[in-house]
Amino acid sequence: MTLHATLDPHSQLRALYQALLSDQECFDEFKRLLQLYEFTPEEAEDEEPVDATEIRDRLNERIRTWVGGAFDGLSARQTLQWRAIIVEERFNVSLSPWKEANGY
Amino acid sequence: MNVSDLVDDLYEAFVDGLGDPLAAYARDLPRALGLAPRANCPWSDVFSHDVTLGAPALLSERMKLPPEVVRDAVLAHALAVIDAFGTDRVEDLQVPGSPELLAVLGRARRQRDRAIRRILGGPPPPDCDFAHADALTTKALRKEREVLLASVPVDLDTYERQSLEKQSAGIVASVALARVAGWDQRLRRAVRATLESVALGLQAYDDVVDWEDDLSRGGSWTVCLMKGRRAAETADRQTEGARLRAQVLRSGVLLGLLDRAVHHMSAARRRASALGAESLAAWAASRRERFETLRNAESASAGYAVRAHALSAWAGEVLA
Repeated sequence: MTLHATLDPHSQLRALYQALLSDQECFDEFKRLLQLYEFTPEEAEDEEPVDATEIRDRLNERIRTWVGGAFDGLSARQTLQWRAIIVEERFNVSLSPWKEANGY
Repeated sequence: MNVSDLVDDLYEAFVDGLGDPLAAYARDLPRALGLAPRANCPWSDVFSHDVTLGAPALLSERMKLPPEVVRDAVLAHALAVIDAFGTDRVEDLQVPGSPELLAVLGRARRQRDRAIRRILGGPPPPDCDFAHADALTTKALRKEREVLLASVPVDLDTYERQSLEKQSAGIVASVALARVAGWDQRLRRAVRATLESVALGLQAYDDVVDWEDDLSRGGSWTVCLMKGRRAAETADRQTEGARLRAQVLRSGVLLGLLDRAVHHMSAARRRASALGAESLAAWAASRRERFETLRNAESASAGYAVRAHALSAWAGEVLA
């Protein structure tokens, strides 16, 4: 049995999270590839362009390297979510830059 | 006492007193200042804890004061902090100084000053005077802009002094409350020192996790501190992008700031506990633990704290 078969999707995402947290180069490369991922679906059934699929495949290959092979791969939807968080900072930026501090 | 609810109730009462159309604008002030993503967000949703807007309530646990006095102190404190945020954003050109915004901030200052007079029963002494704090804050904000725009080297003492002066308005109401409670000068100094420790701890943490955002908005204390650490070396005056990031990570400045965050939160916990402000002490202890975890991880892997912050929203949703 391979390690791949033993990891559920949640554990795989946790492994990716740990890889991104612990290595700046992984984080930078992850961000760079997400920046290259050009897909802005307007309808749910919109198809991912071929170029975007290639970038996503490359991203998933790199992730498998970082986490030691056990990774099913990010879907187009998951990749868009990651891009929103890491590149567009849509989740973080919506919060106050002084969310913690009372500095102004 | 639920401090978040108290802050929201007091602000709502302030807004109601403004009358239309200013009230509608004031109700949406967090979004107008770029502090909240949605309309009519209550102030309690803007910050992740009660200290920023409700500090006097947290420090009043042992003061044995009538509730209306504590309410007035929270009102004065919250409006002072909101005014300071607004004034900073206008002066920094992050938001336009529209007539509505300037009118709301002006009314906030007047309400703040009335509240502090009610607490003290007359004109405030210098350590409880918002006018003095405003002058310090204004001077500090201008100096900060000069430093950040020029991106000059600074040392840790300069950084922390500037940070405290910038946050002067956040201390006045709590000191006034201590004075009314009959606390002597030593205890009032302890109140001040507690809030200063909180302010410095939070500021150091924010300057770590937001250093690149700050840089993109015009300047970063972290970069200035790095240059200060490297003053004896031949620091590049203009370094951008990936190269600057590599320099910052290599310099250990983020680790140094996290060390300071841990130090200040330890002091805040100790001081709050000595003043009988147990919920504030518990909160400071939890922040200290968090900062210490981050510092240790940063020590093992440079840039960890920034990455953890960038990934936090995703981790909270997906890995919780």
